Amino acid sequence: MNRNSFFVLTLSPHQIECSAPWLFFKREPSKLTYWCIENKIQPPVGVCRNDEGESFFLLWGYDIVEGCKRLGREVTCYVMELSLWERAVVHLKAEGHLGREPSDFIYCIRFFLDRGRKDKIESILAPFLSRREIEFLLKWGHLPSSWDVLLQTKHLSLDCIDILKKFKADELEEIYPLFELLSWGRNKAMELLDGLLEISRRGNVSLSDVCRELKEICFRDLSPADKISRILEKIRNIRSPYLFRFERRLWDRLSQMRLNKGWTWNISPGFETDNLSLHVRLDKEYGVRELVKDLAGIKERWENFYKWYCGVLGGRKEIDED
Amino acid sequence: MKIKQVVIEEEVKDSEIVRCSLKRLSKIEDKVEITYVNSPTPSYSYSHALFFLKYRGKFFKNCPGTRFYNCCGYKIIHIGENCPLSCSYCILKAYFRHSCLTVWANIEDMFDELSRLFSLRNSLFRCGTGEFTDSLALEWLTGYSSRLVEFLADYPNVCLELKSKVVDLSWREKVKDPCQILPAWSMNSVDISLSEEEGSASLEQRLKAAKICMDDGFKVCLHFDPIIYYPGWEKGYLKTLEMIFDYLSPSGIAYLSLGSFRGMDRLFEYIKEKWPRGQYIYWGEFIKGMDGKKRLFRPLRVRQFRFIVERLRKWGLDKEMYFCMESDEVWRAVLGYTPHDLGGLSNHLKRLTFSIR
Repeated sequence: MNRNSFFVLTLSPHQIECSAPWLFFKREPSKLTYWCIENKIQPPVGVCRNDEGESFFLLWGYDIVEGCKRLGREVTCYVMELSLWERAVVHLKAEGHLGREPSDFIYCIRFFLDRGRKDKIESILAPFLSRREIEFLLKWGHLPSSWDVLLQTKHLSLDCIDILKKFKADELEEIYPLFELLSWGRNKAMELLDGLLEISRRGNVSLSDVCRELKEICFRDLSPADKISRILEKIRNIRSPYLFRFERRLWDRLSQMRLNKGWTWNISPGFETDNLSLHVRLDKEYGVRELVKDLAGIKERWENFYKWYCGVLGGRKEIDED
Repeated sequence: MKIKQVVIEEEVKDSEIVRCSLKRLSKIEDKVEITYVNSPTPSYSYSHALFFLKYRGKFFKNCPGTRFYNCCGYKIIHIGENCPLSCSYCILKAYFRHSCLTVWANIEDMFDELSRLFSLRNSLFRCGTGEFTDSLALEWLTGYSSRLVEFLADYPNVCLELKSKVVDLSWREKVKDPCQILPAWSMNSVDISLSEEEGSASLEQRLKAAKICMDDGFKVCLHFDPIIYYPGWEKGYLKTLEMIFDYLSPSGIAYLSLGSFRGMDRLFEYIKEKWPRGQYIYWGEFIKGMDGKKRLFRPLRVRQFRFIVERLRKWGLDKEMYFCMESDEVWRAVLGYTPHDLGGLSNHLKRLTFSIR
């Protein structure tokens, strides 16, 4: 057969191999597919042959082959002569629209990378993905393939790849279970990864020990959201112990002031100034009289607190001092 | 940095700076590729290229300090961008959109602008060239500072600070009045200087140069910026302080600044990426400051500042010390007063600068 030509053939659906590595997208037959097959107006599917010309491999039209199988009908096929990577290109041209999320294309990225066709990826995937998504997927393609499932199950966002790629192979193995066991939103995953990376680069504690402690939290009887909060708290404590201890003591001391529920404290960003502001909403039940009474009630505690607050931030007091 | 390529904008190819630099370069480098371009902006990112371009903006600028912290009111004479030295913590790497080492070659335009400004004899100008580049790192090639020093001789109301991490004292030959020039060197802990300031002169060389200047009648400035937090920082900074005490005398210091390591997220990412040895970014406990830059948590900063200030005070410095971009809270905690108590930091430093005369 001429490489640039194709011919049409009718085959039994059982003659068509439907598990080739370039079949990234498979759609189950719909009612419309069945209706078309029953009325003999189904479009042809694409197939190619192996070198010996004995077997036929599907290029596109999985739903039609499956539908024909179930209805006991034959399949009309375009038979094409293509190289391995061209089969993937033809498949994508026909079925690429079935990919809804960038993560749906990760197998496709790996297919081209494994076959040394990195240069073709951007132009092939351009109709389906943005340049940034392609760039991220290309980087993701260098992670062990076991990470793909985390992307597809949305346990981890593609945006995290720039931090992930900074970890060494053995470090990736250590952190993998944290994402296997919990589903992380983008920002929290970034915070975790950033913290882990900085802790590992600092080198005073082993990443393996830290991950062991974090994994333990994953198995506690807590909601997933609580597990994530505890893990991030732990990370903050290990990464910035002094700041963490200060924040903890600060909120303890503020809560000891037993304020009315409607009161909220606002603190200067990064504790850069000594200013604190208290916000109170006044209404029919809680008016000026109640406010004055409450303020008088916390006067002494407030003065002690503020002395402590300015003392610690001004480097004159230790965090645990009163 | 070894210069392997020189990129020259056509419009300035005949300027004195370019002609003189090419002549000097040809004496030491055999193979330097010279390219002429029409593009007015440095758009290449060659790591071994030096760009001679025409600057089309104002050469005299305010320091880009934010309103959230106390700025010293330094005025910049903009002679170029980026730096041939390779300090890991350098904020310039995250500050400019490009990484091209650039010299503004239209020095005549600069002198025109400055002469108009400095002719206002009632105004005093404390200015420097070491904000967007090292004042002296390319002096061996361009002689820029020497020309500037010579030009300023006609303007006694101007004091120029030459801030550097290298030792090049060639500009001294052009000085008529030493009171007009403030040679300045960046200081850091011995450890940081050794590991993070690639291409710079050693602290000892810098201090020896400062001593020569002091002996010649110049007052000098020292800048502890960025002060970096790492295990054992006390020992490292103490060693540097002891070296300062050995070489210099407090009466010869015009002023000394202290600034904590800080920067945009981009700088931290850059250090993580390009300087894997830059461990200090993992030791510091950083917060996001009021200006959006990351900086060390305040009590840790205060601890470092206090450590250095106490020793400098014992040595004999007092109101000559100031902070670069710090809050009133930090000033009060460490020095016991705020810039407001000094009548404003910019005015205070101007007084220190010009009372020399």
